[in-house]
Amino acid sequence: MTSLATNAHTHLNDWRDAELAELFSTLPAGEAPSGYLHGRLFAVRGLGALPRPLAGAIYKLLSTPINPWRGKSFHGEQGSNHLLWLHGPALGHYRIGKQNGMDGQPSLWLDYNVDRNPSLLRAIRGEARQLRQGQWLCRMLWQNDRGQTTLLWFTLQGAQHGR
Amino acid sequence: MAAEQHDIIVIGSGFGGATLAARLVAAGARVTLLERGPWRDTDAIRAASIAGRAPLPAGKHFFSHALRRVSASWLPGGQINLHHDGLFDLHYDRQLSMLCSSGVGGGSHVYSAMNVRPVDGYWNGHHDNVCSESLAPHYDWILKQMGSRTAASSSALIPNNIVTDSRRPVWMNVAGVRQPEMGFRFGDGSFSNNSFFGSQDNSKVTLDERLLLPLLERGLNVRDRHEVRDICQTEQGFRLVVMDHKHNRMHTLLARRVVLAAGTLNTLRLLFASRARGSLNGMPALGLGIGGNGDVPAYWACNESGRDYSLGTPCHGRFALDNDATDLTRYGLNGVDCIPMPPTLRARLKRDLVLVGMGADSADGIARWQNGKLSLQYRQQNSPVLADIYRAFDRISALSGKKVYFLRSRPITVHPFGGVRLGQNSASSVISARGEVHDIPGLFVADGSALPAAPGVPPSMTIAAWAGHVAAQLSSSSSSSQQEVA
Repeated sequence: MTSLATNAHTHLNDWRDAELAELFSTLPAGEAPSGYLHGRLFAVRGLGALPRPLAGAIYKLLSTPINPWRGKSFHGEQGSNHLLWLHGPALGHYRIGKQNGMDGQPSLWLDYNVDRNPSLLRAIRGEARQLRQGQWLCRMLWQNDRGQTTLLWFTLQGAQHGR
Repeated sequence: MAAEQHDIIVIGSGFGGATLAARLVAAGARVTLLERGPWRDTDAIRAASIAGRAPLPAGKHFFSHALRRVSASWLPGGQINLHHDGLFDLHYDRQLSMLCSSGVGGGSHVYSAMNVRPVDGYWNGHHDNVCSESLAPHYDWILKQMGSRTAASSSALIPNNIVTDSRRPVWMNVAGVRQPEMGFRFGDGSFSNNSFFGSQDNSKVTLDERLLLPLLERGLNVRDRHEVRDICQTEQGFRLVVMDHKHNRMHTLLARRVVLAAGTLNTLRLLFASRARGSLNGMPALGLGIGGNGDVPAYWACNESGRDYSLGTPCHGRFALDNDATDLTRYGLNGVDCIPMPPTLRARLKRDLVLVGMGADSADGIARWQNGKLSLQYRQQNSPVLADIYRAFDRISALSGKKVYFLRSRPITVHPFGGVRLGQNSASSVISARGEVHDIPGLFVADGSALPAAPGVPPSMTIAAWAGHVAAQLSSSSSSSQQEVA
């Protein structure tokens, strides 16, 4: 990746959930991305109590091949997660729409409740908003009877910006 | 938590930021000032009951609070953060190293209180709408605020005043040399520990107590220990990512307009880093026109028996050598009492002197952003003033028979400037006559990075004057937009 991509991701990788939620609340939903986007995850639920440098180091580690998730693809109203490499095997598919997110502001909405997914994945929802040109900040939610819980955050970056 | 919305956010509280905030608040603007360092624990700030003060580096706090950060391209990650409340930042670069300070009041804590105007016509020729005449009232304003006056006429009792020093060597000429005005309390100030490591008793006039404290009651919102990490242009203005070191929490702030006054080094870092992330675009001339203001500091091991040169005003005054126009200033190691050390070493240091040569360098350095690190290209052979100063120091060595030590091949400056310079267009400059970035409306620059050339003298008043000019532009655009709304 270029320094642009590295900067965009590492900029956020030691942030806490509440801090990311505050940033997220300022972002526009923007237009849905298209094609394949590199992903990097951070602020995983349960790791929020770790000191920032340690959390940052763990998320840096999770951006290496130790974590098979490479990113997402967006094709019209549907999309998928990709493992091993950006155009690699697809797992976890979603419908793409627009609706108000957890904070009541408009978001791109990724709904995993689709027939192709195993039942466990159908409880997942994703919210995405445009961070900068070609970059999106997203949160993964777990949907159950009591509502939605944030599981983790991730960024998506267009291949044209990341390579 | 929803992000806060602000009208004007000023980043930095040194001569640029404090002056600009003061002028804007006086004009009725709502201003939030973000400063990465703390309020310093001086008498005036303590008396105002400001919470969370941090000590100046002295005594047991010296080694913990002297340095905030050291940066160099060969360090892992480019930098080592030593203490959030440290006073100095050192950026080491083979071609030009820079030293700057951190804390509410910025460089006013560590400067030598020399309040000097640049040569006549300094501002002419850089932009059609900016000239020395239009900046003159802004110099007058800040000089008045700082209570600036020369030491020579005030009292013969000032220790080590170069003009009245009867033991001054005959070759150290002061006749015909204009002595600097100083922002110093000559009447009731003390003549020790008032310079490079701050002035605990406020003998030296600093911006935090003189400009910022009185404005808190008038609505100025100062947030200390808030370090801006990213500036992103949005449709409505700007989104700032800010680290609150007090609470170890990241914040997102929104602002209609942003003024960068974080000091040359940090303004450059912030603009480069934000652009690299894609938060800001454009600025093709960012990094051009860097200079060190011809600074050459030297240590003169004169070991003058029976003298204590650490006493006096923050600087002793200027002098010249015969047939030599080089601008030289003499300082004692004022503040040496703050540093824990063996008494014999301290006594020796008090008998030695610091010399600084200064002059207009070529301002042709280039700053670049490589792999998240700032690097500088600065060819000292392009600036003849540096060679002139080296020659003057060699002459002083020869005349006195006492060695003058200085770094001949490693320029270091405490007055970096340029890189975000004023000019007519975006191809050769970054900001317009309004102080606004050419292609980013609403983003202003009001610190040393905006200067289009080397002042050749201590630049604090020039930076403050520029900030006053930018404040006037912002105020006039605010009032015209209010009129439009009305």
